[in-house]
Amino acid sequence: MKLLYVLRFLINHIVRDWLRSTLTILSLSMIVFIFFLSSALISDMGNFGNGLIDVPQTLIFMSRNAMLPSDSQINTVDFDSYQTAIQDLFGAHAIKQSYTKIFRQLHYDGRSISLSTLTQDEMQDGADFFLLEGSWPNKKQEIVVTRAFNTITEKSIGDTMTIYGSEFLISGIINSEKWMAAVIFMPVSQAEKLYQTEGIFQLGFIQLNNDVDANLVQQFLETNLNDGDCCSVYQDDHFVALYRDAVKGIRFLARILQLIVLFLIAFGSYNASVLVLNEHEREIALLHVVGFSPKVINGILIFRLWILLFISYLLGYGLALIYSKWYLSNLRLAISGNLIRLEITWDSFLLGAGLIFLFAVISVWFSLRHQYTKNIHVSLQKVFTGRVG
Amino acid sequence: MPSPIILAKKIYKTYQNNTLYVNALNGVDMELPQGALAMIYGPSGGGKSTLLHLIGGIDRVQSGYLEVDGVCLHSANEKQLTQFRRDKTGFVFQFYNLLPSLNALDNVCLPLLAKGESIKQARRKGLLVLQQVGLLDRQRHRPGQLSGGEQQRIAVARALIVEPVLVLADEPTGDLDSHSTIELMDLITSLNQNLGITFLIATHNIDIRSAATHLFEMKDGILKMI
Repeated sequence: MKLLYVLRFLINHIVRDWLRSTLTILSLSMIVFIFFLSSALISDMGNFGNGLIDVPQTLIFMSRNAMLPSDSQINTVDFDSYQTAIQDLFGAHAIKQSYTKIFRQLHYDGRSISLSTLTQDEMQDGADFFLLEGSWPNKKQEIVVTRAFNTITEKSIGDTMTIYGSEFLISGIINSEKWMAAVIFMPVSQAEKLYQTEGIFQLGFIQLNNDVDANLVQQFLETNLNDGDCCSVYQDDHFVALYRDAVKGIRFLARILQLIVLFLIAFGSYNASVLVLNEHEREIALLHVVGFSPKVINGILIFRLWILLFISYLLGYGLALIYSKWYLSNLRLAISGNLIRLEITWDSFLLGAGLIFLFAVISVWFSLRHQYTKNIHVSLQKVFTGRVG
Repeated sequence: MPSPIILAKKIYKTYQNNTLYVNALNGVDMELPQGALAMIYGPSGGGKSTLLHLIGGIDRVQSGYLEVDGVCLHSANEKQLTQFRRDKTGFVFQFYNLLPSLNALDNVCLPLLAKGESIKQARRKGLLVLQQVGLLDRQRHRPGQLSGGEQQRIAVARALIVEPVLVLADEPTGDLDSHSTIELMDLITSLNQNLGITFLIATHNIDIRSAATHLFEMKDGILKMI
């Protein structure tokens, strides 16, 4: 009953002070809005590199000195020599399977999109892909694309696209829980024909059996089989690490942005609290005079700030949700084919709510500390001589 | 002879305004019996309001002895002062100082809510006090919908609701027209005579001095009984 009474009183109070309340709510909701977007950006950056070729016990072969897979060129003879060496030293059954990939980076629709070869077996073994819609390419000039590609470019099943001068039909959309990048996949035979590179590919993969030490094999190959200066041998998480390294700076900046936003929220709460104290100093003093204890008055002020923050928070959250939806249907930015989703999650909602309400308590405590230690008698004196509110 | 409700001996109070020190009270002595209707006259800046602050437990004495209704205010801590303000005194200000977001009844009930009484109980008592000051029909009105005289009577009702032993009023007629002034003073006199409530009023208004049982003059921080 008393809580409802105080709530009604405070809502009346906020409504009466509508101009200041509105400005406070608008400024705080903008900060909350930025908080959600920066959280979403950090989450997107955190997902960067997820789902890249990350098959356990797999060694990746790429041309020495090549930075990007698309710059690599390996021929079948060299790759076979690696396989033979592994079998000679670690046993005939050391290799579980091996495959090669033709890999290109395309400029498509103003974006950088990866094109890779893929077999149906790899699709399931490699990155846990499953066919979401349509069918696996079973005719000439057919390709499948990832869900991210479909989202970014809005190209779907039945649509055609020109790659390297040839028309291709999208026959299916594949997806993986962990694959975030926009990629076009085509069967090896089609890619070889398209790029006229029979016997030449960009990446080689050798998956070792579980009883073979992949580290040992990598070290052996790097140390003993590099006379021809053919390939660098990486572990399966190499590209994940590479991608993560590439976005490290952006992720760091996003975290800094989020930290600044948190400070802004703290500062905004403090400001709102100080504003209330200054603008309603005499009302607060009056509460003192009629016998409310500082503890109760603190509680009332914290409650008032909570109401403002609650409204601001919901408004900021709503705006962020609307923006996120608008962004996904209109902008859909991507970095290296990785879609920036700007997804507003419950995790960030709860984290933000906890932090913001904590800031409110700290802000009121700080501002009141100043108020009580320095101005109480002055403000009380105003009750005797000045007009309230 | 009954013990005095206010007993002050050699009270000093100095305020610091940047580097300037102002001696607001210079050794004030005061003794006021229960049931008195006392008025303090004097020029602005003479120390009237400061004395009311100290007697009301709003501010602290610098040195001296101050006892109000048995409570030693010169040595009370913050908690005791809050309790003293809540239980023993009522305040009436020149500019009414009602909360604009509350209606008349809720403004009157505030001190009881500070004491922890239920809203229902507080409102029941609030209605009785509003009846006493003749404003029962204005209970739902906000301060902005009331005249100056009505607001001041609401302020008096708020001061009375805790059944205080002492009501302190600082220029209560300062913002009222002559008609409202007469109405307010009639109310204060009637409450003083019928309920035995002690009033201490700081004022410039010499027209109301006829209602006083005790008269004081305050000038340059020194209090004299007239």
